[in-house]
Amino acid sequence: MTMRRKHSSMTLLEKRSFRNGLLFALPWIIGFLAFSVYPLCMSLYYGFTQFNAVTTPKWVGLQNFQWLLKDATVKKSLMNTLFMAFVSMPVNLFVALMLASIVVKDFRGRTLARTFFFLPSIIPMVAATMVWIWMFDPTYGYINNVLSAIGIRGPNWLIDARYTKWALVLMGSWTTGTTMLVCMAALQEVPVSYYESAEIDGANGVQKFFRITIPCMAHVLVYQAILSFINSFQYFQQVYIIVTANSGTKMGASLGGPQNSIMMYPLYIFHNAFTYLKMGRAAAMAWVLFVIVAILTVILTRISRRVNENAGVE
Amino acid sequence: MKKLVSLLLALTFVLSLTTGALAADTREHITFWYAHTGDEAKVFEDAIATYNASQDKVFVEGVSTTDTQKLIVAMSGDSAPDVISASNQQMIQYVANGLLDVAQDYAEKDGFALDIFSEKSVEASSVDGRLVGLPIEAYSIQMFYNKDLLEAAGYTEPPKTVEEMYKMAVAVTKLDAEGKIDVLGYPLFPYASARQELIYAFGGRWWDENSNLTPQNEGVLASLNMNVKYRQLYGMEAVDAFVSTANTNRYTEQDMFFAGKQLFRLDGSWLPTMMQNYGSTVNYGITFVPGTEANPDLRGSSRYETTCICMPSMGQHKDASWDFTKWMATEGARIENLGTGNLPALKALYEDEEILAKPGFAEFIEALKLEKGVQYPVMNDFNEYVSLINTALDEVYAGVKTPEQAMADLADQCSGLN
Repeated sequence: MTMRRKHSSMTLLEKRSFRNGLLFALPWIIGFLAFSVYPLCMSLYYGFTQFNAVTTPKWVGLQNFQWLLKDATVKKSLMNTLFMAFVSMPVNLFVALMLASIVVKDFRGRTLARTFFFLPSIIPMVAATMVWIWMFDPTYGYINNVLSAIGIRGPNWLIDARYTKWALVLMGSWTTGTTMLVCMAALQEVPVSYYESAEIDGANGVQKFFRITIPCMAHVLVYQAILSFINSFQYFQQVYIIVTANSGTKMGASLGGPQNSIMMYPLYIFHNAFTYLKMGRAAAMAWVLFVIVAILTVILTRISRRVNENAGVE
Repeated sequence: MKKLVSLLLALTFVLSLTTGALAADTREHITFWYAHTGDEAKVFEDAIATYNASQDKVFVEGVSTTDTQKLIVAMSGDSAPDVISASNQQMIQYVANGLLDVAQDYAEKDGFALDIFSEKSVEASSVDGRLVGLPIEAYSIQMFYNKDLLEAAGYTEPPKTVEEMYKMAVAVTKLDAEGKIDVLGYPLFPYASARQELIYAFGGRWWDENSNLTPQNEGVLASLNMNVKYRQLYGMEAVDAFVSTANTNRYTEQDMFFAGKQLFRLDGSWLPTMMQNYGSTVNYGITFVPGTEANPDLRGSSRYETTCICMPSMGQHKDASWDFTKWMATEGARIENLGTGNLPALKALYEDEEILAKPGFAEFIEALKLEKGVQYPVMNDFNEYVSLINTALDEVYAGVKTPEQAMADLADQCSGLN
């Protein structure tokens, strides 16, 4: 009502301006409706159907969601994904923070070191994963050769279900260049006077790090943690390449790695949609993922806001 | 002056349009998506070019894509290809989902005789007794063995039974100083062969002739128990390490069989050509997959797969598509088989001198003539079943479950599949 009144009270110029604005935005609006809103609505509908992408969807009510609750691989894939979120995220953040703490210091070759640490982040994921598959090779791989040199017999990283996820964590820690840059910027923002005061009070390096550095950049760390956490739920490319490289042809290795140990939730959605041609199940899984991520985002945003308030950041 | 330039430009534009229209190909254009890449894609392109050169009515545009996701998306929209190549395994799934026309309908209308194809290839390419796609190539797996390794262990003949094979495997397996396997005797790699031919050799079947699922079959359990026995003898981790490395280097210059580090290898007809291309000097022989002492007739059992030329049901140019489909499965098949090193489905090519001259083909064609190919079941959820089998086998190989436990669990898990 208010809007209508407001609209009718527009001057001719305002109306024309409003119309022109709408016309300019129209291509985006059409794109948004066609490529975001429509697929979103359709995927919700497909979640309640039996659908193979080609024939007419058949309404099955809550059947796909009931299957979700019963299927052991859904549970396993969710647990694997949560593992990556809760283990890989802190490891990556820690590595990025350590690297940032090193390259923020003034030393000879600092630029080279920054480039060196950032470089892995710009290597295409497919190429990087293929290289890692070679590095993880139990016989000729670089990692096991290094371990062997110091007297440790390395595991079968990508074939032993006990180590596959840890191999992914290791891989992930290699590509923390972007987070390192953000942490580096945050480190440079910490006032030098704080450190000077702490030195006068006799604080050592560790105390300065935990009492000054970490609290001062907590808001940045929390923000990065939220991003990494949400990204963990979209973990797909690396595992897809690993299992595809391992599976050979047809009745090869498992689609989710040894004993489905690296079957991530998005990978299982993909297989339901395109390997098993069960789009209805895939759509239902995608909506459950959406709800989980939405809830977690709300929780993490609240945490972030509280941290920002404590840090005095708007 | 400006007017003159504009006039000239307009005239040039109209002329170019007219010339383009006049020069345009009036043949009916169809698209053919094939799932081969690299050198094999070139072979397909050569075949397509030969067809196009012979045509004044149809023009085929070939597209190489191994991306099944892209194919499914195309078939679900209005950009479906007119003709595709698909493995018989994929084909069964596509038919179950209503994505393909039945080739036999076209063949009957056209009077195209289907008995030119081998019986097994027709069987493999049929669903509910109707031929869905025309078979262009066949896959069978047989046993390659390293003659030098076998002779060094005191054997002059390759094994005819799995019991003999096990003894030879143990005699040849070598460990290095660190306990890692240097030479693998038992054919646990490639994964797919260990999970199919090594099962079929014991008479094991994952499904019966009526497509009922039979994971607790005696042969399956016997095969898995021998597999586990070998693994336990050398250590699960040592075997897995070898298999993992073998997998990373599969079909490369460092392939374990090409490098003389595998005694037995259950693999396809393309292996000799690959070995030749990589300059492998391994002195190898080819023999049938063994049977058992109790049932020597099982010898030569292998999966039997075909690649078929199929017509998606949503394709637009049916007559032109059928014309190309039957050409590709006959004249095109010879070009394809010779170029890719895959076995023929056409019976006439079994006696073709050029085909028989390809390394390993004579032995493989002998195996095909045995007609002991194991066909895939006709079921909607086949891919899901395969996933469940693979996961169950992972558990057996890792020692998490005994074969009996794993197969009993698998039987429970697959009870809802259809």
